[in-house]
Amino acid sequence: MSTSLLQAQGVAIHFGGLKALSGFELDIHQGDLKGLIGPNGAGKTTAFNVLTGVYLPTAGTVRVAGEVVNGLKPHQINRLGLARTFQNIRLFKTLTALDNVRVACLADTYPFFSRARIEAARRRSSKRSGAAAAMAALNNYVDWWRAMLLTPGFQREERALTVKADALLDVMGLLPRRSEEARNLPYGEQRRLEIARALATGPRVLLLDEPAAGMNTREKADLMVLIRELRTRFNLGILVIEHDMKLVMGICEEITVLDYGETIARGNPERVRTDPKVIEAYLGDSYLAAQGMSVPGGSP
Amino acid sequence: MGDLVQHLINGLAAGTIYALVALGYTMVYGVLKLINFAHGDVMMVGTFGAYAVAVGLGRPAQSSLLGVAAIFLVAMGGCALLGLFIERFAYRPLREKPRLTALITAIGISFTLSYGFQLDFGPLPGAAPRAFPEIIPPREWLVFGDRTVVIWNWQVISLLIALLLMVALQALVYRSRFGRAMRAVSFDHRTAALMGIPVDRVIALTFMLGSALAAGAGILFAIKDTVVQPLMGLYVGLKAFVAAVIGGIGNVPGAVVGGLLLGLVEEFVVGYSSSSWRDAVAFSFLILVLLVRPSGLFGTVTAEKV
Repeated sequence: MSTSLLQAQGVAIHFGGLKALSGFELDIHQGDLKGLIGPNGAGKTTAFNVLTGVYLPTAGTVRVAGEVVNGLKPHQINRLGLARTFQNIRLFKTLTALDNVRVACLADTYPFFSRARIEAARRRSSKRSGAAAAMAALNNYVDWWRAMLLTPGFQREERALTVKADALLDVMGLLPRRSEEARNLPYGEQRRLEIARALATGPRVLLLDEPAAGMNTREKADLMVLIRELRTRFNLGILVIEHDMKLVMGICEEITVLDYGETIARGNPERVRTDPKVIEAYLGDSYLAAQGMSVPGGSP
Repeated sequence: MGDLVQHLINGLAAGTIYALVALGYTMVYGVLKLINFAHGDVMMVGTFGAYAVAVGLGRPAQSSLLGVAAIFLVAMGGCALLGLFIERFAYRPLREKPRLTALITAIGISFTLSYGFQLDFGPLPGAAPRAFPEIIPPREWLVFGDRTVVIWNWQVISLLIALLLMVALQALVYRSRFGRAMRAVSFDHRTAALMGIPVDRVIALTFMLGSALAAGAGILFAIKDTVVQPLMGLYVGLKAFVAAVIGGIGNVPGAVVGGLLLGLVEEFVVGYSSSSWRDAVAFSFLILVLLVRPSGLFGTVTAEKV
């Protein structure tokens, strides 16, 4: 059995008296493609926010690549291999498509501290080393003199960065749009650009928050194929939040259903589809009474 | 004609200093949406640092090339640390609080610095204005006609230093990885963090950078004015803030253009009417610009989506 890349155990988060999420369990391995569904306000996005470090869980633990990440900052959790997209698109609107991706690429650059020195600092302390992280960040972000003088090393790194970003844009079918400002892209392309940007951080687990929202049927079908492809090409585990039942049922191997922050069902699509609790949560018990156990056809 | 050229030169020399300070306002506003009212006072502290180093070096050393370099480096480095300190302990704890809280804090720091430096206590300088050492002994660099136009060496040097700092900053913001991260943070720091950008560090570095620029500007200002005093930060800071708003706050080229424009406007008012009108006209100019372009000359109009 491969090691778990993302694991949530008994995760709960309360906002005052509101239990937005409780007893949340999740386990994602490489190659997994799992879904997270539930009616509006069920706590799906809250779950994403807890996993990525936006919120601190009230109880329970989240592990990324085996490491407990409760209390870590979002950028540190991201560096451990967890990346996400957003339900309401949150691109850097005034940057070009290319720069949106490049900004997320952690470059291999060592103007101050050598790779050996950073590795040594990392090894010295068994816990996560602040010194190593600071050195890596300084290497990455304080190279203004090289930018100003356009040193050969700087240009070489920028080119490598651009090649990497272009490759990601190409995978997402956005290469022709690379110089376009993000805000000028059509909706579907913005969603794909968000995925490209998330991939640029080099994740092992990708969280997609309603990637198909606002797309037409054809775009949705293409996206399903693409998500499957990403999983194999980048060796990812993927967790998808989706409103569109058909889409989730079509691609996910395991589905978790949330309602009022509680996990009401978990299992393969067929099991979840016929679970009376799920049907009730989605369509209300009056529908259930009228229709018996009929299957919900699409998004509620 | 000679008059006009002379005023143009003086105006540009003053304007570059405003521009350098305005850049600090605009960068911090860019990443935090905070008007850092303490920025002018950080400049003042930097100028006093330079004053201390210059006095410490003594007469021949302070105006040698190495001496001047040391004065700039110590003042700019010291101010970078001061900026880091202010961000870490005054602004960072308030980052998720309403914006007004940080703004009031900024005003508090501004007053703490400008009035704290008036205390006569140990090495602190006291309230009295004092003469800034002539680290660049004034010499006429170019004289035209019958002394109708005189360009001083310090004007040229100050212009060159200011331009160099601005070009460096431009490269930093628009070419380097740090600049890209800074623009991402400026757009949405929560999303930036989720994309692996160390937001705290980027903001801290922005403060250090702005503060260092302010120290450089403060020294140039002291060379021009020949006097340093603890309240200079309030005055120059306010003017530079006006310059940043004229250019469109948050916009790097805007701060430069705003600074130069303000310097020129002030110089022409002083030259052709009376120096008592200078501040009145400077602020009227601000009002005029804002009436025509509410988000400044280079600012982007942020349309509210309904």
